[in-house]
Amino acid sequence: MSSKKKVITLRSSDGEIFEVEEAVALEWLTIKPLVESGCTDAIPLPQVTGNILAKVIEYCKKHIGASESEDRKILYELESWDADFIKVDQGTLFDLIRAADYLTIKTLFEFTCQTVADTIKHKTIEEVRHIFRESNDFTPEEEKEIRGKSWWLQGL
Amino acid sequence: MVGNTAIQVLLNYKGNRDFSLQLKCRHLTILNLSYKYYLGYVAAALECAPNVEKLVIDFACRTHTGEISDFLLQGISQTKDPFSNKKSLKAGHIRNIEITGLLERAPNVETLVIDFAPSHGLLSFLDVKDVVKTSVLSKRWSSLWTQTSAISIDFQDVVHALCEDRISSFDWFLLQWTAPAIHKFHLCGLLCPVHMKDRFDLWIRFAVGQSIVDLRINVFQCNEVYVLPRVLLGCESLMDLRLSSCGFPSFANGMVDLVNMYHTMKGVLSNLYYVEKFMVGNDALKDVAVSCLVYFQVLRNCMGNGGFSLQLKCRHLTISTLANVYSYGRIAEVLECAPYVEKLFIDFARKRCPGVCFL
Repeated sequence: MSSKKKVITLRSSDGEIFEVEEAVALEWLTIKPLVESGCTDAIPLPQVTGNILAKVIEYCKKHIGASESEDRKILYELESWDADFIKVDQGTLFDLIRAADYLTIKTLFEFTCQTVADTIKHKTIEEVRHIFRESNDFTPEEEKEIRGKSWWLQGL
Repeated sequence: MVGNTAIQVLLNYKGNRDFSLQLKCRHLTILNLSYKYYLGYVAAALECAPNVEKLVIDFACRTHTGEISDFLLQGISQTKDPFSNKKSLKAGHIRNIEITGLLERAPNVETLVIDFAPSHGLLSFLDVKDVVKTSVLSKRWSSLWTQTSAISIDFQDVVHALCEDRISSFDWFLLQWTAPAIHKFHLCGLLCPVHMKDRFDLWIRFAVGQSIVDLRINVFQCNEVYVLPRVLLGCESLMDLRLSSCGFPSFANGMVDLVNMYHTMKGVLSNLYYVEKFMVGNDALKDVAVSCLVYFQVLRNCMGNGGFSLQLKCRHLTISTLANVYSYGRIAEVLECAPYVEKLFIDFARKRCPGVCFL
């Protein structure tokens, strides 16, 4: 093992400074070119707040290397760790999705999207609206028309 | 050009500068730029695009557009590029720079998910009926669902409907669909494949025509086996294929499906011509998941042709419902002619025998 691992400095939107190993940062495709070009300054991430960035780093640190592991025990552990990790409020979850999308972290993006998708599965339209904090801006006639278009939307 | 791929293209131009390759265009538009720090690269790329008069940059997400246009203008006039330091910009020729971000287009950014790409990401994890449901959420959502590149439907989920209803609803969905390509197409719980074969064929032809990458077809347990249309055999975009209770058309006399072959085990070798052709000839195929012992015949056949340099090109190999450990030997043989396999999953039909190392 090499004794000195290269460390990348990141700055969140609220000015917090984080340090991650280069190997972790290289998984983030958005900043990968910057890391590879040997950028030594703190990389500003103006769209990610400190608390979200901390979560993202936590996830990536845990997953680096472990996801590819063949060891069933490690995979099980990782799964239960993931389940604990994702026990966050809705707002944080959406923030994580956006951060993962912005930083292009495929594994985290898929995981968080899947989690949200699972929560809205089999929910009524009203419930989904509530989850997305989306207000209904259709007139009753418009809504009726849209619902009439598809068999899937009837009786919901 | 769209997205960060465009940057790669531009960078390539940059890299080739010594060979005096130049972008000859006069208007350059870059859409969905995800990170403003790529502007450094844009600036560098502009060096070799002397004819550009108009530059339009559109950001994928919220950005401080004013700040960026300052940066770019500054970069252009002061010849300072924060990422390559040595580059000097002589791009005084650009007269028109237009930079837009979603901020102006979607003032109520606070309602998040919906405004950005994640909504597409999210939709791709939902079943068709949940996807359609989002059309009623609000006006902004009303047409988003038609743009999802991942379509997955479980026909068993819809228990209260007649078969016909389900089928025609899905047809309706496909008619509304507007995305440029289907990335993922998962059909689960298909019923009565014989009566509905034409319709299913239509869907698969449609998917093949839309550069399908990930295809899964799961026929609900019944005696009939769904025979896939031949067009699938020539699909070059396909990288992940998972089938259950499906067969390929046979080479010789009529349609003989693989599962039937499993029962009879006669004439297997000649009839498997197409399957071999499919598995062996498809360079792009990265994940192969097979079930039932009969596939070993296919795989062994591939091996038998080793002298003619036929090889399995897949990187992930999944073998499900393996009957017993004695088949291990066969797998080992098969693996010899599949040099790219990185991951191997084996699932036993009955008693599991973990920890048996045979390779």
